[in-house]
Amino acid sequence: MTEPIVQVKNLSMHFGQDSGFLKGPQRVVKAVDNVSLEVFEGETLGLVGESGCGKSTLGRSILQLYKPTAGSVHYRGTDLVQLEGKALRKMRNRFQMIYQDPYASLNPRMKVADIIGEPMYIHQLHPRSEIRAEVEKTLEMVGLAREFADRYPHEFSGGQRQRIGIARALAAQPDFIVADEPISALDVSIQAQIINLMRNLQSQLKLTYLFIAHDLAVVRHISDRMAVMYLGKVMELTDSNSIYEDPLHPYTQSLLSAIPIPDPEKEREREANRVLLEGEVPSPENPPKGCAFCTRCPRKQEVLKSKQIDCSTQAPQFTEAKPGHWTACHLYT
Amino acid sequence: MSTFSPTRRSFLKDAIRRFSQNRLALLGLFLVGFILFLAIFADLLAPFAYDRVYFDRVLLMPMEHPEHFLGTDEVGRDYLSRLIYGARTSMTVSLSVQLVALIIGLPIGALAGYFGGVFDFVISRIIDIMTAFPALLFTILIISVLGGGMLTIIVALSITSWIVIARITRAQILTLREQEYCTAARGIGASEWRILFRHLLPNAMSPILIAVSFGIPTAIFAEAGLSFLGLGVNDPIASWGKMVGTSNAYVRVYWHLALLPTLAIALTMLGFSFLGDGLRDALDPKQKIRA
Amino acid sequence: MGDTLLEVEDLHVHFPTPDGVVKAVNGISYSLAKQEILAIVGESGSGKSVGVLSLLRLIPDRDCHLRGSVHFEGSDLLQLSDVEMRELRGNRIAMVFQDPMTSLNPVLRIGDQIQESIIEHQGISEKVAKNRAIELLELVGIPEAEKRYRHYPHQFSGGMRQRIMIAAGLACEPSILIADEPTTALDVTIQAQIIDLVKKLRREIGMSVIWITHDLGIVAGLADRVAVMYAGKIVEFAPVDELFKNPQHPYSKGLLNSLPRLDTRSEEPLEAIEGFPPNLIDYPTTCPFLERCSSRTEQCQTPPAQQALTPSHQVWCHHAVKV
Repeated sequence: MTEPIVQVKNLSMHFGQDSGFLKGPQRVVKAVDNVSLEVFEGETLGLVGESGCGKSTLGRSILQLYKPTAGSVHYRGTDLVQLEGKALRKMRNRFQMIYQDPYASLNPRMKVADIIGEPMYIHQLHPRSEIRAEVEKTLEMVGLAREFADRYPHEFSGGQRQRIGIARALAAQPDFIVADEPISALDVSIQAQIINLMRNLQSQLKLTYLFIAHDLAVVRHISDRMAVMYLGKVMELTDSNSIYEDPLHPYTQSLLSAIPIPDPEKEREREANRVLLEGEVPSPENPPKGCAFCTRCPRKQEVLKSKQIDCSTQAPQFTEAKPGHWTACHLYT
Repeated sequence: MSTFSPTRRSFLKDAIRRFSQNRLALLGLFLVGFILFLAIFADLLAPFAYDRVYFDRVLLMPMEHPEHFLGTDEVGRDYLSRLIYGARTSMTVSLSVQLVALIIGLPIGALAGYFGGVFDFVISRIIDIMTAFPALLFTILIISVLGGGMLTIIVALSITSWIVIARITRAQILTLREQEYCTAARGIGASEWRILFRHLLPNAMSPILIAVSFGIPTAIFAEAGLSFLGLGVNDPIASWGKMVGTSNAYVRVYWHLALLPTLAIALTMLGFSFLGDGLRDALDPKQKIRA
Repeated sequence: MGDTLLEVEDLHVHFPTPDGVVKAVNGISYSLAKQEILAIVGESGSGKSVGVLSLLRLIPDRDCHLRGSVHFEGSDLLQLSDVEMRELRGNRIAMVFQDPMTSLNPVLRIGDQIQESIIEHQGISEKVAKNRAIELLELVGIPEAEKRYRHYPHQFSGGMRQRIMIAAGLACEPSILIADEPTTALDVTIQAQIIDLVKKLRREIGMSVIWITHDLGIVAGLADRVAVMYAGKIVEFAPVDELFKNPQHPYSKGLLNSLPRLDTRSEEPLEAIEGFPPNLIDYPTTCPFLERCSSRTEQCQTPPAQQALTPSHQVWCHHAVKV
């Protein structure tokens, strides 16, 4: 593998820390808690987890759409967390985001040409007279007709809107893109179109992706490596094949067994040894003291017996259990 | 259901279609248009000047004299002309008040909503206090300090009505600020000002426009009320409220002196209310926010 | 499978709008057997939800035109009066919706909400109804049911609320449970719990289920038979194994091929279905899938009739191959 393009170190994003004047104390939500990972040039790193696990927040704090409460994010050597105001704004065209909701993420009062042209204009990427032509070029790149430039977002279907969102990101000429659940709001037959488009663009433009989704099958298809998050922490991180073939963390194991496979025969086989997780994800306002997963972990007793470690009081370290395969579980320390 | 394939229709065209299908709204538009027409062309439309006095034609009933279709008032001025010029007073006061309210309220509300912090805290408290204080008392207080006259009335009413605009703008910006397209604008490196002017304000305009259209009849009513109490515009300027007020002493016999200006006020109010309702339904089809 | 419980014949649902008539459902027919789980699969706008909601006449009559017949327990549901229909809904046929928060009344204790339909439909005393409600909560796996009975909807998580909705649906021992994307708003680990629960209920109390979804993965592990809907029509109807092994309609094939699968990984691009579904106002006179179909021919200018490949496998395509 090549150089890391993004290096995240001990990143935390805690919400509600500073309580407002006259508003009394607030509870702290640890949406992202002490996460470290690297994204390498040209790869797709998949980030999966259930709703509320902090995967979107992590994506947004990496791009400084939220100011992280602790830790650092180095993009090609520059710590973005330290940048403020104009210096940060000037760099923003290099790293872009594709949003989940193709309806909410486009300004309803702006024409497509203005939406896609805005990053070009702000960063002065082209002479002003050429912006229109560049917008049309970008539209064609994402598989839309040039004529669409003069329409408003509400005139398009969800899949077309998502293409416009992708065009806006590309217009800034980035090399790193965070895709935050880019297909989960779309219909099944449209999802495949968008996934293929993103893969084509990646090889054409040498893009690096951080691909966030809750659908493990989709993430496995598009990613080179995958990180599994639970309650604000990364539980496991390795290449996409190992995650499925050799999952180490008990959470990854039960997550995989909960995902239905579109094959009735296989499903009947899997049903026999399906690990159904008990209960629900604890509130991030009041996470467990030890391992984040200890309240639902089916292998807690195993740890206690073989290692004499109480998972509910002692948090495991994120360690390299096998070469290139990291996990946070006492079973592998 | 997102099934109904993309339609080629802009937001404005859609709003116009909804508006023109609404009969009450069209009636409102007609009434408002008529009053505005009277106000603008009063000099041409009125048979007499508003302050032309005929000492020999005092307190004529409608149709009593061929030159005075709607009769005359207690000092011998043509009542029809007074009514037409009254429209001008009503419109001048109400439109100026809403204009000033917009000029002051919009930026203050937008800045408070967008940047938050101490400025928002101070503005919000001012809004709270002003909202808790009866607006009429406040206006009367200002007028008794500054004295009567049209300018004073506009100033006094503006001071209370910018609050409404500021409150609505602030609330709009606060909600819109959390929209994903606003995050997206930050993501491409747009400056705070650009986000505020290009992305937030255009989307906030509908409810603000609706608030203004409901603010106009409120101002008309306030001016009429103040003039009725004798705190309004000075003689000889015609004002419907004042006309009702001074007719008090003669109303048992000369009923038209009270009835006609009251009718004028009522029709104007009705026109603006229908227009406002229509605008709200056309611009904001999802939420029925009452300004 | 046993006897036929519900028989839908040639159902049409059209919505008049200012822009024209939206032809949401265009002549669908299917039957549901006792204890059967029937999955209706389709994308948004395929008419999969409308086609089922309209059975229960949950869409106000003034908003839509209904045509066809729905036979259930000896009567045609489309001919029943509003009062008779109300008697039937929630009593003989129960519904669970996608969003468990908006389907529960936020100001009523959940116990009272479950009890309500029991007292309404069965006319039993409040005390008996309460015991029954607690039993139901235990049945759907709510821990400490006796205590939780008194709680309000906001005190439960999304998955728990969906369990409560199912408990409320089951209160009157309906013979059919209609589930409209009941797990779409839930996480996969919670989704697995709910699917497990529905299968258990089918086994234990022998109800039939119509499960509306867009997720073919869920269908594979849950359903007995599958109807694939596109543009308001059923395009393929088959037992679940048959559909996944031998899909015949180009749309069903396309859907299955466009899904990335967890158990295999290939560098190949997914086989996407290009284009978009047709406009439901300006409904095509051709085969509705024509524009997006890769194997279209001259024949496809006329809408295809039903072809029975086997007695249980029907396809609406000119090019289906008999086995």
